Amino acid sequence: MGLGAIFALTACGTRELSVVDKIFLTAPVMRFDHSGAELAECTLVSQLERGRSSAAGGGGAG
Amino acid sequence: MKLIHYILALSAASHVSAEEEDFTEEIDFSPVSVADALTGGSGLGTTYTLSTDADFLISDDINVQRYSADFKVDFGKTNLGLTYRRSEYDLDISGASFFSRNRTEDNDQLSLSLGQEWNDRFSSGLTLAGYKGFTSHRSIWITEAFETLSGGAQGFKEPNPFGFSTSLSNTFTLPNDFDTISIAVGYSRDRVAPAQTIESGSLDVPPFFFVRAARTDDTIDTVSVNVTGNFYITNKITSEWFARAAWITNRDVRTQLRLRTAWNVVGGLTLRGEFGATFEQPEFEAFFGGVTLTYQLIDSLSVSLGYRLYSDTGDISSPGLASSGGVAGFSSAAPPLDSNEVSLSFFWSQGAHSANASVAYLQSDFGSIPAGSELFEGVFEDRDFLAVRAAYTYEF
Repeated sequence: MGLGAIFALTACGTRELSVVDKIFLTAPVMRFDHSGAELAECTLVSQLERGRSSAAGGGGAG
Repeated sequence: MKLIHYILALSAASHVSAEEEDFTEEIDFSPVSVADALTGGSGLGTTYTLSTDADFLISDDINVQRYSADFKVDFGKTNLGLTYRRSEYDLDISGASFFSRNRTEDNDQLSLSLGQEWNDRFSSGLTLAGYKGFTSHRSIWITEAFETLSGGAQGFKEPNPFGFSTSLSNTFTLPNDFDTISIAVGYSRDRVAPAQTIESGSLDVPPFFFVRAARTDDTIDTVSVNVTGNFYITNKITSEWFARAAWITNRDVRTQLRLRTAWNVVGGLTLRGEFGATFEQPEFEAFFGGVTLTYQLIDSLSVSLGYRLYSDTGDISSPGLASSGGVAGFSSAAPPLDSNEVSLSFFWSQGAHSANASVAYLQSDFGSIPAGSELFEGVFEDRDFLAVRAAYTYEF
């Protein structure tokens, strides 16, 4: 399992991409590191869905 | 802005084959120049990014607004960022029949980020952040309940939440010059609004009866490790793999796993998916997933339609919340929650300007709260929320 994962990651990291592919895959709709205007979701939803939030801290009494 | 750089780089590359001799002195066609264009590298000079956004979470009795301003300077190999964020809470609090009132609170947060690209394969980031004020509507609601319940009991202290955090991340670019693996280590200290244990008892001497409040531990330290991998699957599919482990004061380790994908189905149609889970012993589990369909209407405008589901088993009860003798044996831990969200958003980008407007309908469905904890039933009522976001970014 572990070796399989390492092999898969290594395979991912060595496959070549053309410049055109890189341009296409770095467009906002294909990326995940959104901020500012690229971020569409209201950031306050994590007030409810605490299991989705990566923030571990509190300010909460419970 | 980057997209423009990419197009310029491509344009330059295409000129090489067509009119190589005429343009070689005017345009740098070297791989370094193209790489700079792709990475926003040092060959493009200093760029500045100014972003501002407003978020709203609206229901009949809970209204939360968040405003933020973000300024970044990218010197090529080094970048700096400063973000100010203000959250305002306006709650119409009601719980057990003996208390009902409006309460407003706010939270101010400031964060500073520093990034450094050491070479083509390795970059680092450092963030420092601090805040003051309640961080959720729930903690305000529960604090109000405790204050009302204690009725000025001896030992009750007004909470004063604040905190700070720092994180250090390192990102490695894999040999294909596209995929990345990032490892981040974070530490945070939160001074939270603590649970209050209300005790009552009788005395042999006057006044023969006492009410006393005792605070549980109100300082929470968190150490976390995040590992994020960005891999392309095909030249039409990208993916992000995320794993997080967090060690929190007086609690078992909390782990989160998440996979996000983006698939360009055809032309301007892209399907994005998100699936994840969070676990914490002994009894917390959360699962979530969703899909978003994005369509490029015209070059500068796209529209997205999304749907998401979330389910958890409820908070782990804090031992400190159970009264040791008298008035109550309650817990403010959240009951299980199921929620779903439908969203519609528009993204516009023209030159150095980009903007986003989104609206979502969010429905929460809580499980029943434990017997004796009716004091908090108001905060854990099923609600319909409107979640709205507007954001604008200018790069220059």
